[in-house]
Amino acid sequence: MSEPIRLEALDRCFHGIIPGVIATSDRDGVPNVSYISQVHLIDGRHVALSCQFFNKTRQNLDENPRATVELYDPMTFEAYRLRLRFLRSETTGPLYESMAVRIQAIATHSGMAGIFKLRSADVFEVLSVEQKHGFITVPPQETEPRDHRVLPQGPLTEMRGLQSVSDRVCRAANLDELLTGALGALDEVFGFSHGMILMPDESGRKLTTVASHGYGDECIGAEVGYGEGLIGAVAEARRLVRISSVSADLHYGRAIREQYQQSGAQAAAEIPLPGLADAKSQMAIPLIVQDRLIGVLALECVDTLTFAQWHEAFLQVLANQIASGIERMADRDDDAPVASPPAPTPAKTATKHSFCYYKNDDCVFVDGEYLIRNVPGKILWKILRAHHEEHRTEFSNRELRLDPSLGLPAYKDNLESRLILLRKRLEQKCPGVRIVPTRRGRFALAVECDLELVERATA
Amino acid sequence: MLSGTCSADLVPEAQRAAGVRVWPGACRLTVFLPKSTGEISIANLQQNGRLAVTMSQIETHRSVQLKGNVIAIRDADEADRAHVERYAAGLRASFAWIGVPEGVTRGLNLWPAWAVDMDIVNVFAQTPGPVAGVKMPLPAGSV
Repeated sequence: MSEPIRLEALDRCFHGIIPGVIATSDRDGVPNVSYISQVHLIDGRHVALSCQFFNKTRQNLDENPRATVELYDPMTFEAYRLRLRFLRSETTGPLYESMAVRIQAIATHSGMAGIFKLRSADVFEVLSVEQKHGFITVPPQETEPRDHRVLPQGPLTEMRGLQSVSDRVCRAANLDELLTGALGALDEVFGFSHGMILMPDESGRKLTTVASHGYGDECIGAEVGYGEGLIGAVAEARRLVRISSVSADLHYGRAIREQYQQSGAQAAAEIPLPGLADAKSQMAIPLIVQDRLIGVLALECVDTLTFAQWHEAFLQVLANQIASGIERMADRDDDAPVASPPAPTPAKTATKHSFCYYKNDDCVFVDGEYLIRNVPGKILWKILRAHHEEHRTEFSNRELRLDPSLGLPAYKDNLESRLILLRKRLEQKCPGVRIVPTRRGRFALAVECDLELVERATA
Repeated sequence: MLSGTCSADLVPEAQRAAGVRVWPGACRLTVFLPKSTGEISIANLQQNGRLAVTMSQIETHRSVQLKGNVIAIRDADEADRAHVERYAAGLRASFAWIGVPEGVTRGLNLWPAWAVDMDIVNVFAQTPGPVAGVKMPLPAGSV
């Protein structure tokens, strides 16, 4: 005899690592059985199923609202039977949007944006939940997912962990310290070893990576368009997304892509997944202040089930703090009258680097290799020329803000994040030219080589 | 491989099948349902002889659904066991491919099984995408 089970206790079954199964029937008792791509736990008595295609399952539910779903625990392979009654289809609202953004992330990775999308979130009442005893002979020795947390000992450990990360964010003296400190603390305290923070560029249609942890330097400057992949989808929808089965979701998307291609539809080129090539768990959280998107915090891991449901609320609190911190940095008076250390006077080496600025797209190359573009590109060109023509080495944020040729917005210009991006890209591509913060709102250009500056209309 | 059945009062049941044997001419099928978990499915088939079977390649999601009527239910015998064991090995490998270790799926309880013979009435494409649900042609001589 099966025993009743609380739906909330089956969290692992809702991650989609082993696809669930749904059976329905029409009014004449003709059954239909298929896999389900997404089962979403709403509360202790309700679940929602994603409906991407108007299929037989959906037609049957209109005739006969009864359905049975079988779900599997990916760690033990125990099976659970859910008896359901179909209530309604939602095509707008928070539930629909939170399920749709996940589908959109899969669709854009598969080049299926706009073609493969959520039609509805189908809401069911859960009439009963029971374990299917006998599905497995001997339960495997349960190996808990690796515990990534290195939380402090004692009561309320999660809260203490949150406090620790929050302290790091609040005490940061500048934006770079805030961003790198937050990502570092997430690793130290929770074991989230790979993370990045992306911020919108001036077009408001792209995000650029301004801080990363665990990837080396390759990530800095990487861009993703709004609506593209997990991070872009989160930016566009401004909703958190957690994926525990990255490879399964991508295979699902590719299967659909193949079907569309066979039916003659044109699919776009597949967008490479930024970050870890073998990521199995991902979470992306929008950084929002008031109604503005400040950025996206993206975390990933090579293990499945890294991010549990409780992480969602928990990391959202932290994301709010990071967003407020970024905002606070942007609001600071940037020419504070404090004593400044002298600008560094670096010793020149015999090396020579050639910088080329392309006017048509504000793009700067160094020694024939792409360095940076858009507003950070224009800033770099401005200060390189000032250094070359006027031998200037010190600059202020204020003068950049007052220069209309740079195209910085009058309000919330993200100047600090652009300078961080520029500084890190120079460190990677041309360490002989450095941007050195000297005091709040001021920085020096340290040039340790000979420079050649070339300006071209187009590439 | 999945099976779907429905009770007389229209309560559907989902059940993992344990493999199939295709009859010569491909108009008839024997579906193996594990006895450990198949009690409700068998009861449903005794009330309402309609059976749906979805076969899916886990790695590619390529899927097809067969629907038909049950003509006989019997205990699977030793000759059937080879089909079930071959299917179980393939299933474990497919699950391993999507990241579920064989240590987890080793305990999958597929034997003993019932052997359910069915006439195939309809075949539907089931791969997720625009053609999911489209009826496919049956071999000549089908019911």
